[in-house]
Amino acid sequence: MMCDFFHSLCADPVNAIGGWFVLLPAAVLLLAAAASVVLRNLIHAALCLTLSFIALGVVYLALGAEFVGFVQLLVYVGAVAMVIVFAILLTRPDELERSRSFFAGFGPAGGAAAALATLAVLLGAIFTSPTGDRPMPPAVAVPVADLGKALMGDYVVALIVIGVLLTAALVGAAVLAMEDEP
Amino acid sequence: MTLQIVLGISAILFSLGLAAVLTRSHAIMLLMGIELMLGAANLNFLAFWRFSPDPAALAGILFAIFSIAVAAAEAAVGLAIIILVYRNLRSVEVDDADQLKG
Amino acid sequence: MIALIPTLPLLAAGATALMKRGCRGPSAGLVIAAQAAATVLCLLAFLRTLGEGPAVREVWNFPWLSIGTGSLSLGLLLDPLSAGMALMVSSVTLLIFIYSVGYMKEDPNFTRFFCFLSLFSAAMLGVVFSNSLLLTFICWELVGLASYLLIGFWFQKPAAAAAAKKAFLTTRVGDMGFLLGMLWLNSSSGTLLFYDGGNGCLEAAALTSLAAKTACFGLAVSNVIAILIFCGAAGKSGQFPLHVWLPDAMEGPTPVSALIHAATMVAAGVFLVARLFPIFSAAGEVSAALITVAWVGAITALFAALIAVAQTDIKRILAYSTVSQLGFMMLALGVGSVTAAIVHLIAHAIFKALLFLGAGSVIHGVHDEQDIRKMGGLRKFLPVTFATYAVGMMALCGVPFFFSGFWSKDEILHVAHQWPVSHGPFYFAAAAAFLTAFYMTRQMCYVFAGKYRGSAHPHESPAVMTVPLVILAVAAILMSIPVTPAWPWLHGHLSGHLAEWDISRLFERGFLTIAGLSILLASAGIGLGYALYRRVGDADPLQRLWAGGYRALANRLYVDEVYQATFVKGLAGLGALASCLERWVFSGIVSAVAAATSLTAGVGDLLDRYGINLAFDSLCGGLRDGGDLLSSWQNGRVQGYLKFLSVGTVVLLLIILLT
Repeated sequence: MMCDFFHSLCADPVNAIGGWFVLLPAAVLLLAAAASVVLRNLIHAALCLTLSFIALGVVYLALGAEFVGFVQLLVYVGAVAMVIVFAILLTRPDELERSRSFFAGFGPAGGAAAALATLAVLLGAIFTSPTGDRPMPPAVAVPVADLGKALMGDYVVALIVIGVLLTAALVGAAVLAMEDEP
Repeated sequence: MTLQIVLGISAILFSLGLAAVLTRSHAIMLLMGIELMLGAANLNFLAFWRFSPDPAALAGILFAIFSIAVAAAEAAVGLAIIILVYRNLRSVEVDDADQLKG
Repeated sequence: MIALIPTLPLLAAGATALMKRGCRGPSAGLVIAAQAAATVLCLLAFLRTLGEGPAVREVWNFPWLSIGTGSLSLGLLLDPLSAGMALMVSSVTLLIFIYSVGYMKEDPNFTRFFCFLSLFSAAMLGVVFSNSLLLTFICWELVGLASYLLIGFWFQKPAAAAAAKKAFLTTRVGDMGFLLGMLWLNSSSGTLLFYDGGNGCLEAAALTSLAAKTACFGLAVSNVIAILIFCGAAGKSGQFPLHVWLPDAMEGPTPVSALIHAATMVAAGVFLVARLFPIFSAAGEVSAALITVAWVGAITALFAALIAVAQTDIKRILAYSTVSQLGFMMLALGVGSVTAAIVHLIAHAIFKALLFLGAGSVIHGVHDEQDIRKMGGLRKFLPVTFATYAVGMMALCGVPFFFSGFWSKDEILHVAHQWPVSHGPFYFAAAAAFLTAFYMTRQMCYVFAGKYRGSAHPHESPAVMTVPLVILAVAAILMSIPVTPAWPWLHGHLSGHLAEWDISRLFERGFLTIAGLSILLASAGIGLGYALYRRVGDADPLQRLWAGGYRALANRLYVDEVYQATFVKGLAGLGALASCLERWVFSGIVSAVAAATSLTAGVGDLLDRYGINLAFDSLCGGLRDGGDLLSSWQNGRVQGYLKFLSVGTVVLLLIILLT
């Protein structure tokens, strides 16, 4: 199946461009994610994470969900990544040394094993499912106006709840991070 | 490009995030792992939306949007908590925050 | 009217019992007056039986107890047997009462003595006049009670108390047989009345039915009942082997010995057999019961006579003599002659009472010395006593013609000789007669002949004691008249037909041979006794001649020792066994149960303390440790939790995927 895929990619590169548009950013995504997991220096890890977010946004764009892609770039890269970096800065250890231990708990063995197990299961599930093996249908343009109508129409409750949630998160974060009264 | 490929990518991303959560000792590292997992989930949703036979159903996109919103809120609050814990415990190691141990 | 005869002395006894200790005059007077009245009434009854022709029998029955459909009846009977016996009993009793006034003058318990005497008299007369075996038994037991009270009159003396107990227990053994026989008779014949207009147990219908049925050992029911009742008679009359109480009963005052143990109570046994003779002979003239009676009587006669030869207490010699003579009477009954037995009974009562009262006079005269070795030559000091005693002795030995004892004993020897079963009893009786003469002579020599060997000053007894002696002596002589075969008036009276003077009867049926033999035996005995004991010193000549035999006889042929070793020790052993059983087994069981209970409690406590508590504690500990373990998993580290979470999720996914 993978061989067929690459075969088709190589055989018909023009029509397979769509595939490459997904794969290349996906590869960057995975590499950056792996790097951020593994890197010891926290700032480096945060930056790699940012790169992975960017790559993920490009993947979204490649998949045809433009709005989501841009939202991803705006929110994740523009807000979340910044907050993470600021938090890293605000929580530096006093002696400016690296984190005491790289791996927590009983070492990486348990966690890695669990993650690998999860991966195995998931991959197994994905590749044995009969509904998974379907080609990419032709792209359909989704106008943002439709999104807006859906948000305000069918999904208005969810929208308002999200609004409340965001308000609560804002207030909460502010309260939490406030300095105690002297 | 089949659905399986995309799902596989998202699975790998998810397990990478899981590995980060389970193995790293820095609290913010945990948060980053969680962000990765959330991203993987979003990718899943969008993959299913893209490969579905009815692309006019916008549920997939909207779910992904809401997920991003929630992830952002959660990242903010989580980081605030981490800062607070740092202030009280003078440490960002997850292993040091074990006051709830039995 | 007959009912008054026993009732008057009974009322006197009751009244005397309520009197205080010091009322001598009133108590004695009341008792003697009651007895005199009873004697008069007996005389009247006797005359009545004389006047109404042959075979008179008057019966007066009344129901006593009703039990459901059946009832127990009592009754009174007046016939020649009971009238003659009653006259003898009441007159002898009266004389002895008068004698007792003098004899017991110094005793502080005078009133009590007369109360008991009167009780005895009432009970004895009840036995005589009873028409029901039940009433006989009741009065029999009362007589035994009175005997116990009187033997143990000086109860502060341990010997007297022991003697009273021995008498009661020995007669009790016999009375068990009596009771069994009575119960059996009641169940076999349905009634205990003797004569009840054809329904009585001594009348023909009952007797034939009793003789027809057989009980154990192939004996007829009548024989078995008779033997059982004879047990009671043997106990009361001191037959071998239940004779052991009679010599010991001499611990009582002499009037008691005279009255109860010579004349009246011991005669009750003979009287009972005589009264129940129809049952004894129901199975035939020579039935098993009668054979038993005859042999027991013969053995007793010889046995007691042998022992009497070597005794040294004046009253004990007379006691064994009584036993021997009672044996003669039982022998007479056994060989079938009721009249011979009763005649000898009446004659014996008179002269034995005489002898006892004389002995009492002697004892009184030498100031309460009873050992004949310490007496001697008393004929000078107590002349009246000596004369009357001699009369009694001659009557007992069978000195011929003028003394009643000769004729009555002779009659017994005669009928014994004619017994078809065996001549053994006859020879026994003859030997006993010889020995009787021998030991009586011995006693006379010891007491009245020779020189006085004692340390007191002997004196004659007062008139109140000697007058009854004289009366009895005269009676002993006069009794010889109605009992000769020449004019067997008493025999005839007792058997129901009148007899006349016929001297030719002396010469019939070999009577002279037997008479000659008995005269020979008596003179041989007297002669030998006189020869041996004429000049008796301190040592007994017989002891010198035959020391071993003398010692055995002096120790009463060891019967008491045998009883002590077997029955008494056996019962004591049973008592000890029961006590051991009680102490070790039952108490042991109780203690064992208690120990087991406390042990169980201890075990339970241990179980509780160590088992259950430990288990519970360990359970709690286990829970706590489990909790600690579980809580130790809760280390507060998020990543640990998350690892488990992910593993769990993987497992769940696998399950979902694979099923």
